[in-house]
Amino acid sequence: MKSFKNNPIVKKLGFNRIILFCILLLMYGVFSILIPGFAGMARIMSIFNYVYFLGFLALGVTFVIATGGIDFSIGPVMFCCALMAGYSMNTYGAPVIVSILMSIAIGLCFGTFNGYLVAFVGVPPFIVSMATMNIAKGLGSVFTQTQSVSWPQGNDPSGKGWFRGLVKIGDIPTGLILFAVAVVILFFVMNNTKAGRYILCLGSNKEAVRLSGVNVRKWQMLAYVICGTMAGIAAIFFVSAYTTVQPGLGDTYNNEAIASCVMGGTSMAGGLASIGGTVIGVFVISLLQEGIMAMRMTKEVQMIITGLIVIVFVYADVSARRRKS
Amino acid sequence: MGTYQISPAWMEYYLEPEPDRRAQLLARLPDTEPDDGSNSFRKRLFALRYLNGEDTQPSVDRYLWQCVNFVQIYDTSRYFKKSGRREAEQLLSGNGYLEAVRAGIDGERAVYWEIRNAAARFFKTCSGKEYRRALFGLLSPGSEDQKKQMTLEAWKMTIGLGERLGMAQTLELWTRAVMDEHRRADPMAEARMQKLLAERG
Repeated sequence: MKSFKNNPIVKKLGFNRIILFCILLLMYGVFSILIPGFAGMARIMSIFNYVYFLGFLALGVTFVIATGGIDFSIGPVMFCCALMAGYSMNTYGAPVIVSILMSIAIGLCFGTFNGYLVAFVGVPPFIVSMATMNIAKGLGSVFTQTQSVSWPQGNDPSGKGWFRGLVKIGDIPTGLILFAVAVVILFFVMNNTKAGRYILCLGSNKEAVRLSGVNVRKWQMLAYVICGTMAGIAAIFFVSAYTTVQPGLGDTYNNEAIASCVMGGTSMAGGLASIGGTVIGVFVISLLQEGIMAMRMTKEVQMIITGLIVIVFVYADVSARRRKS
Repeated sequence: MGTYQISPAWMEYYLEPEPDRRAQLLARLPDTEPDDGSNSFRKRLFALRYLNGEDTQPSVDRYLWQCVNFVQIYDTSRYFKKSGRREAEQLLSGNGYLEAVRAGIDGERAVYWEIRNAAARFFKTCSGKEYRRALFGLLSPGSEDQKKQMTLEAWKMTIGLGERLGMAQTLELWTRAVMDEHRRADPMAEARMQKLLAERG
């Protein structure tokens, strides 16, 4: 095992990520054996639908966790964005492109709000994001008068359904291409830009970064802004795949996004983030959700399993850090 | 490499963590202490370390930033080895390290003690309550965990980075200064480092 770990390719790819990828393949194999027809194209497309929005949420929250913070509001913020933008389109006749931009802008506003409170006011991220979670839920409900909002279908006679091409055009999973582009951009930002470096260093040793003369507040806030914006984008992919959004929901996706990050190798203490690992984590969670659903288990069972996964990976992260140090 | 002896007055300068106080000492000491050959480097390194653009007062700390940044370069250079090496070389060049090392014993002496001063400032931040808070910043780590983490970061920014980027020779003086300061900051540092080195093979 030690020689495998010390293999240059394994070192480059990361031992944990290789194990996680093997788990992904194993899960797919097990589900394919247990559930007839699971390996079919329809099921794979369904998994991709989950990957798109969860992927954007998880990529965004990776930046926040890298600073040593947390954002528990991403799920409800995503729903709030989809509700407000969709309601504007349905009720006030806003064009689709305006609604899409509105969704991203709302996400950005939530991210800025969270980031300002954490970085400039000094409120702990845990408290801020819990409060924002309720604000997002409430705002979405108030704005839509507690009504669910449906975005246009692909074959909508008004021609408003074109945005569904974001996830699929014919049999081509365009969402996967867009997601891959986002992954490449964010991987580059995290690992090869000044912003990414400051964000990682903040999580590693905030006080030393401050004493170095870096504007820590600005960069800490940026991480939350990225996270909020990604929640706004995730909302577009969510409605492109699932059409309808209900007010007061969305918090289950927090756990799933955070679990994806942590199992992918992003440290909960900050300073260490893996965009590639997050992507594999997203696929694992999405596959699991799809598998559980295909086995006709209820949403409540899904929540229990996701909760357990979070605990297992948090424990693994804590013990791995102890071992390493 | 020499032992880099300095007078007690200059030692006071290098033990002082605050840039403003150091600026005062640097303005005074060259007039009161005999020049050991390193004074011109001390002034140049001070300017390169603390002054930003047209500033006349210290506003940044490039050596401290190097400590933090080298840990991250170690982590990210797993994927971007070339850019990691380029970035490390830029840092070393921009803060006068390469120039001082090439200049011989007088330059080495000045930069050795400058690094130790920065490393001391870095290790001091590692004992603060904000350092390495676990579980999304909710829990403070134990003192032993903090020290182990500090040793790991000392290794990453010196030996680890040198090995990963093939810069061990360039970083020789940097490594020596950081390790000397690490031993001074924590009496158990040497034992921890040896254990870490053994584990890393």
